[in-house]
Amino acid sequence: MSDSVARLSLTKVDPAWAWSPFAASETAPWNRAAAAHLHRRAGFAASFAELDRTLKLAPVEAVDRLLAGGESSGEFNQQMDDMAASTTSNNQPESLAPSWLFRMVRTPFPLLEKLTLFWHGHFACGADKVTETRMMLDQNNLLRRGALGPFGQLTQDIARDAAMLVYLDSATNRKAHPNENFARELMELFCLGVGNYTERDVQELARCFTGWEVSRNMFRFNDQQHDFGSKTILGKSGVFDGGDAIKIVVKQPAAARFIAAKLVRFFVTDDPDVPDSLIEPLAVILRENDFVISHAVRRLLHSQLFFSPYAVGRKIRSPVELAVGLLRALDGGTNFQTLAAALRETNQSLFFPPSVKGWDGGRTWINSSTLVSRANLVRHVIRDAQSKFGGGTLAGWADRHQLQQPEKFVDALAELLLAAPLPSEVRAQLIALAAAPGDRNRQLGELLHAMSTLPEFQLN
Amino acid sequence: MSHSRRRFLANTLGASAVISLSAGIPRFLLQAAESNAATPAENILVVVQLTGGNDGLNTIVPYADDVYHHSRGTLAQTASQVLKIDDYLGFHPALIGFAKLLEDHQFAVVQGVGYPNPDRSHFSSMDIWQSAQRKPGKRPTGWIGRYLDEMQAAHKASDLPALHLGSENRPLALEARDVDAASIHSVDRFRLDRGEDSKFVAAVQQANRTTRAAGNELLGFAQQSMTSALASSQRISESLGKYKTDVKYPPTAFARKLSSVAQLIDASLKTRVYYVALDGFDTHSGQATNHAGLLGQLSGAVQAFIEDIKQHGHQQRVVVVTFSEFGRRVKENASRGTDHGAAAPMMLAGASLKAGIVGKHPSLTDLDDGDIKHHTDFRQVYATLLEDWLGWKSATVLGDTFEKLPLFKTS
Amino acid sequence: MRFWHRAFWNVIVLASTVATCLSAYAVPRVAAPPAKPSQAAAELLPGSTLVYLEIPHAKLLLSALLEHPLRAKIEATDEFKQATSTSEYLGFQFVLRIVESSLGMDWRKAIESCSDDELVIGYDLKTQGAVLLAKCHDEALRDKVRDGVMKLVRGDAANKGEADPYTPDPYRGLTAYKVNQGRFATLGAWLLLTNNTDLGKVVIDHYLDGGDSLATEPSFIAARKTSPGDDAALAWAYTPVASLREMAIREHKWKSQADNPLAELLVGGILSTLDKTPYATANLSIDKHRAKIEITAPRQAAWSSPARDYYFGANGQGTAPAPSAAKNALASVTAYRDLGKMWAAAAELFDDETQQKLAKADTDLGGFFQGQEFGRDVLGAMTPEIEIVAARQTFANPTAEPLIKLPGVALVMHLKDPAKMQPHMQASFQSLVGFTNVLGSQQGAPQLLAETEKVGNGKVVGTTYLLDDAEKVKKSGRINYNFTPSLGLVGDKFILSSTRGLAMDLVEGAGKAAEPPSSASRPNTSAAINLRILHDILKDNRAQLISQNMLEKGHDKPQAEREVKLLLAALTWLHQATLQLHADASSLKLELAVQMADE
Repeated sequence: MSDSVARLSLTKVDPAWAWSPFAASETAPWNRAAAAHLHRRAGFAASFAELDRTLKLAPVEAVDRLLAGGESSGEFNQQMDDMAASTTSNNQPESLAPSWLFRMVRTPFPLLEKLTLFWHGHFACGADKVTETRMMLDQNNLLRRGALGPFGQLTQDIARDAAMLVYLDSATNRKAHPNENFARELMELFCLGVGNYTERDVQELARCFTGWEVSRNMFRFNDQQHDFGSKTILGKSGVFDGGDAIKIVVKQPAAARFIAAKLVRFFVTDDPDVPDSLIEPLAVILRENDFVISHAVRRLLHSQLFFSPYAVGRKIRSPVELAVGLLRALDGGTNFQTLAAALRETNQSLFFPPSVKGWDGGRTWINSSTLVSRANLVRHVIRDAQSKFGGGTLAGWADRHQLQQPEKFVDALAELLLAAPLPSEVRAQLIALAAAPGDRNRQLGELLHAMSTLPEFQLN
Repeated sequence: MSHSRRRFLANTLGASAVISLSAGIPRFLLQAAESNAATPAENILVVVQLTGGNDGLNTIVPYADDVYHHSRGTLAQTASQVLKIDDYLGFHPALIGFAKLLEDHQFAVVQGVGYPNPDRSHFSSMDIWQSAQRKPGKRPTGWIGRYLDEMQAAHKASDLPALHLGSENRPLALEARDVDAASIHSVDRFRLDRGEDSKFVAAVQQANRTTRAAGNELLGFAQQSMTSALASSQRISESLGKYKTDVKYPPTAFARKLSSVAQLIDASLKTRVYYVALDGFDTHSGQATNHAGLLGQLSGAVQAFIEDIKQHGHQQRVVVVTFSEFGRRVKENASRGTDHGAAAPMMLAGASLKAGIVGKHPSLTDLDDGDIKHHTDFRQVYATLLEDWLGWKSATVLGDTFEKLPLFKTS
Repeated sequence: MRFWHRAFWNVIVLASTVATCLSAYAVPRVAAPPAKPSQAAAELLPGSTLVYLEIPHAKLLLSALLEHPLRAKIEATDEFKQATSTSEYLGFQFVLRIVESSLGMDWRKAIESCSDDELVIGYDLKTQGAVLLAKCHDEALRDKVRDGVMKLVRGDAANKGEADPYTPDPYRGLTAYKVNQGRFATLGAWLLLTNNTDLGKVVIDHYLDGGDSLATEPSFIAARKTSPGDDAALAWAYTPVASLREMAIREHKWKSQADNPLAELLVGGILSTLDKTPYATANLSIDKHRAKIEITAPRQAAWSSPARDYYFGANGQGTAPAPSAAKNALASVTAYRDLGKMWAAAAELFDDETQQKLAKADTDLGGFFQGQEFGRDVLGAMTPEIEIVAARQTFANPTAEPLIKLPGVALVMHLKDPAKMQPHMQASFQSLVGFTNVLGSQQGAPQLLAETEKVGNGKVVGTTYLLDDAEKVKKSGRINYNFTPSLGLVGDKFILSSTRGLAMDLVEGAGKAAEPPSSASRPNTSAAINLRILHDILKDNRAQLISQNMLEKGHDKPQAEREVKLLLAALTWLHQATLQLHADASSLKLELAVQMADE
């Protein structure tokens, strides 16, 4: 890049400033753009009504409200659980994605779904190998239940989750032939990261999980296949079982750092060069609070760094954020089954992560194929006969918000959906597209479609 | 001198002649001149990635080795099952297509390929193979990507110099500093909806080209990617729709990818490297059926592809090469599968190859922690492909000089 | 609900469009040619007409549709009331009233004035054109409507600054007009409307000159003789199958062989008739109780190859058995099909690939039947009377209740030699259950337990699920729980059922079925679906339907519940849908009917 402006580098950022509570200032005001940024990151973009509600609160209250979830979550959750359960009847794992997308679009607690999505990418299991729909759904519910709670417990639960046991071959982990798959990923991908353990640790850890099986689609401990001998893991020796082993792994200093870094990448910035010094304060928060995730998330979202230019517009929008955000921002609904199919084309197929590493995210979201697919997905949503915006057409939605003129419509969409300002020249080019006379609903749809091909639309 | 070498020199001479005549001519005019010059078609490399760690031992099978039979309780292929290559080696019975290609002198196997201190993590090892960088730490670019960058720097990069075809993310191998290699799902899915509306496309392209304020690298990256996506989409849609073939590809997604590659080659795309992947080789359990199915898919599709390009007269300039992040452990595990291993064979197909087996089968008794030791570094194969096939110096691309292998016909 | 809103809306829009078009397409009759005695529509159409559809009394069809009791039911729904109170609907009504007042009559009368006598639609093979001919009683009234509508349309166009939509396009002294892609003219009492200039000219030539036409085609004359009296049918259609066949053969699209055994079983007999028959006719009748379409084609027994004897019987006398009595029967298909004979005639009926598959099936399936040949020994042991029954099932064991509740399905056949075959069938069934258990246990599916019970005069080998404690607690709702495969044996009947309940029912009810009427009037194939039971099954799956509605339409739960409620209500308006295929010495007749629920 030939940018003359020096790039913003996180290496020079003072960690104390970064994670101190957000104080609105002239350069970082608490305004609609800031509130929209908060909703895009903590959830999946907000409608005008949500933005208005948020702006009535102080930033810290807004973050706490996001962390607490909206009203009537309980009833909504029950409805959604029922709906998801009903889609498992024919044991087609593909039928799970539509109901999760529905839930993301309609939930009064978007942060919970956002974190569930985070954990789905973290403890990634693919239905292509698991094949049992019910197992995948159970895992999804498990991730949702534990999303904001203590990481140690979540890891204990996931280690006993049938889908995980199948996915990482624990089901065939026997005393005589330990299968290292789960043990390796537990340290490499789930808790510590490469460089914080040895091959020897992998082999020893695998022995702890021998005999952890799946029987009739549920976890079962088979003492006949468990290795009851002494093991040495990460410098500790003893007759450890899988539960002990997880406690040892999660207690490693690297664990809190590893998770904190991943949360920063998920919520704050795609910048690959986040220095350890910036991660450590969050890791400390986790360690001092029993590794309860909500503490770190609260600090992240209500921080100077989060509302600074180091964060705003510094993430590539994931396909799910793109699709769900579009619908949430426009009070929309659509055929969630065809939406899930369109999402597959953009390389984010829920319940089918590409590997145990989950989605790489960041720049890997976009390439020549997915960019075209992302724009096509937006057009698909606009044109689908079942799509409704605020219960009616796109033009109806625009009318309700007094956005009849194309320029007002463009500005409103930019406010709701774009993380980077639209250059005035581009804004004028878009408005010119709607200049010719014609069906207004079609024109507004075309405007939205054209916006979806812009680089600004790819940022979150 | 080889066919390809001669052609390469002709190109270089032709291009340098144009350059020497044209000092001071604006670059866009120069490009126009280059594209109009009647340059002969250049060699093409098709890389097939076998994702998950292909069991090399059950691909090119040492059926006459007792150690093999002892180690592979349920998975061993017997002398009567394999498709014999010689009195020691045979193809897995599912590799009928490869056996046929070898018979037609269009197939080569490089034995015992790997690298020192093998890494057994899928991700690390795949990154090593794709980046061709052994040292730990960041591996931002791939070996093909660096080749693309060097071509670009020398103003020799063609339109769409490399193309990845598949639904997975663009492989690290194609990641470059400056060149954005295209990655498409399938040729049909590459078109922007409303792409036929030239007014809309023009407006969108213009809006994308408009200069953005500096300062956000990510925005710049998105802008560059979108501009390239729109351009590639347009070009590829133009070159399709005219293709005909009699070859019957197997009805698999992988075969469809190779069939698309054949179409694109025949559409005179200037692409030098095509990249496709076949996933599922991580056969920890129940390997026998799965592995046979995958090998059948692989060899059936490659054979059809070679036949197809032959029918269209491109056989002399296309070579297919396969690789996997590692082979598998010699000893079968308790789940009738095999765990992550180390060295394995690489396979190549094409009419310009010197057909046969390169190197001897590695020992099944002299093992590294239960895994086969390599005797040939994978970068030797890369160096040979870069220099003898693509006509490019390998030392800077690979970061070192590697001894080449006798893979191609020399006369 | 959007569906009914749309459906109703479409009817209204369609009706008013027809009215507008018919009138718009009318033009002042030119003075030039003298009035001629009115010709029949078939005399105006060319001999190459491929489809001829006649509505003898348009007025009757309109009143059959508009005055049908169903209309009152639709209008009584909340959804209808909601749809008709929208501003769009009220706006439409307003425009309609303006049109009506400027015409001086309501829209229905306006339509009737243009085509109260006869309405004919034709499609011509030679010109690839379609034509509509409408005949009126009162030319003056029609002209009044036409003038009014033309005035309105022209006025509207002028208002919008658009060009006159009507372009004069005279032919042989007759004024014809071009509107958009279409053309129209009036020929005495006839109004002509076509999308094809050449076809329009042909019709006008026939009108002025007479000569050979569809009316002089021998097959049309023959077909005409079979058409019912004036009052019996609301619509009558004719197609020369021979022309269709020749065209398809030219384009290599004609097939007298089915690709697969299932298609052959279903339509093989129909194909053998279509292969030779000169024409086919159809007529539609609607009354308060039912709507019925009858499609008839001439047939000669000699046309069918002996290979198809399995379908019609040796003398073409094969008739379907009477349906069995089953509780909560959703549907039944009964037919005469001699499966053993079909298997034996495979060489003539199927292509090589299918024959090979059948040969393989013969061996594979034989394994289940103590090594007998499946085609010869197993299918050959059955009489040609076949029945497939489906019935709603109730789930007695709540732990083995599936989430999605499918009906049970049973195949009922008759054994030629029950004493000899029954033990074989029972043994085969038991190996099938064992095989299923082995496969199922590999995938962690619950196991089936088979037990033999005496029921009425017969016995049932019924299966139930053997559930472990974990499964009982989990109530996993597996789709498997829809299936408790069971075998029933009673008299000469062999019953293979997907559920134990249906097998028990069929064995118990055996012999209670009404005696079939004399074979002369019995169909070759008969199918019926009970829409009330379909309603009950959908109601069993209400939660699934609601979820599906939410996910497909993005509705919230109350919205989805309303739509499902209306769908269920709509099903209670209908009683059953039936299909019958009759074959006699001279014709093949397919009868499709829907019956309304009683008041």
